[in-house]
Amino acid sequence: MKDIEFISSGVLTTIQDLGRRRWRNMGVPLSGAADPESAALANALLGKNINSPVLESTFIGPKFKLHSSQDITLVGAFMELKIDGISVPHKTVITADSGSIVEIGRATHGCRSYLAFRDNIIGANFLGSVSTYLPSKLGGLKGRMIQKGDFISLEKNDYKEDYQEAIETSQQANYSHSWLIRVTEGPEYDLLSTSSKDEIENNQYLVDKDSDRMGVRLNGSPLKIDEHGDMISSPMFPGTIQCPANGQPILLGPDAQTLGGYPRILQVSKIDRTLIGQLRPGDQLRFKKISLQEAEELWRDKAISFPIISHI
Amino acid sequence: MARQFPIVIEEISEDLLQVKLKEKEIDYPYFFWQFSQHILKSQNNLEVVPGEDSLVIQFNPLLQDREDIKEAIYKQSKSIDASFNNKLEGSITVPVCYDDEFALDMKHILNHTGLSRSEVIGEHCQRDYEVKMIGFTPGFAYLGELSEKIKLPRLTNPRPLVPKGSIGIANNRTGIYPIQGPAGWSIIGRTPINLFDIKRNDPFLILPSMELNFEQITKSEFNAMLRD
Repeated sequence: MKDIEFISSGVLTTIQDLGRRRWRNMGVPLSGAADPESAALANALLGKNINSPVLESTFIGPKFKLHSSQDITLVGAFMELKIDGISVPHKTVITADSGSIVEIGRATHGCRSYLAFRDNIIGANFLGSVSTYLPSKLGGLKGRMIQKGDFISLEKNDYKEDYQEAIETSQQANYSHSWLIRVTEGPEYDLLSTSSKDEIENNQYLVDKDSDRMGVRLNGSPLKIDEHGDMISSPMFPGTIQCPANGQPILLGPDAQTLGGYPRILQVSKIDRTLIGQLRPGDQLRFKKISLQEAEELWRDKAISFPIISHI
Repeated sequence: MARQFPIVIEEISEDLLQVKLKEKEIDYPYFFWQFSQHILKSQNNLEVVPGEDSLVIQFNPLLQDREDIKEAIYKQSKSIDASFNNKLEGSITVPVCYDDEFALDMKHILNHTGLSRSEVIGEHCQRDYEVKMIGFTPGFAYLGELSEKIKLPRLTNPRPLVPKGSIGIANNRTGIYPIQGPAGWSIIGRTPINLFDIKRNDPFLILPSMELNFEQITKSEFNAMLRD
């Protein structure tokens, strides 16, 4: 019933699964974990369906009291996990007794972590997903971020699958404050000036503080985009990189709008798309352009060592 | 008589395919919307998003074969004929209250257009609209054409949240927010009727190509309709 009692909320803690599918034609964004591979791995470590709801913490995690005994595990940004004041490792299943205090600290690297529980988090279902979509207050806990004093209930989970092989060979992303993000050319790439095309891989960007689950804003030497590059509304997806007239790219996240009017200059390759959820203000970022074939091969290679990604 | 709509499919990333028409100009504004509905119905594992002059399909490159999908889409495009070009039946009337309480930007609209309140309301509700497109945020409907006389640009500071039922205007479009959400358009009024019904299989009640008009109501009528 009231299994989790929040003593503090953290900066921005929400309930997320892997998102809302097949309503994008009606303007409904995907939502879901901003770093879906970490969320899926947290569930897999507990032998759960990888689409089970998890708690997504941003920068600083919450502190809560458990009112039932639970196996838990944390994956993602480097945030210290403490149970009754004792530090415990990431990517490890740990039993926390009823009455224990669980605390997720401040991220030293990366931006978001994912906490999975043995039993299933109960959230508001909207169009087949409990992912919180803050802009329209949908899903999750009343459509909003967790607040101090909130309770979350869990329901018994009997699903058990052995992902051991997948987990042993999975590789954690290389967290740093300087990222190299692999991209392919987007449909409006040719609206960039020749000099901007030449510079795009050398440009050093900083992640802007005005970034959220809808989009990560970048600051760098402005790209020159064709003045007549105004286009009519076109489909956008998480990982699409838009370039507004000011020349500062916006990298779209899980809550990305479905249609947009800025040129789609690049698309983050699937191999690095999950990292969008880990970019934090102040981090440095560069792009590396790869071909469509390379992008596909990298993703296929990764799926060999980490097969659960084929269902994300 | 069968009519052909030749398409081209471009690979725009390892998991995205963009569909465009070979001939850019056709007298068929809802082609991409209706084509996307057909694809969604016949294919269970694709995301399809229609834009104004294209649609984009997202697939899973580990579980689905790109060439198979392309072939299926080409094939489907050939089964489209002129009878497909039917607009959705009927039209709906959406009651709107233009009181200041709901018309959050009425003062801004009056200042910008130089018209009186009743002139602005008249320009907005005394004409027929067509739903041009759905998207951006959940269920947001773009309607056209808005009267030239009340044409104004998007707000410089978008609102993080407007209530459900809000009606906005920007450029040559007016729009309806069936669910609360962020809004960059000037809010001219609000409707009390529910345009999103989660109890239905298809919860969004406004769809592209529908005809729509607005009818002015008073605040007491608004409140009465809200209670029903």
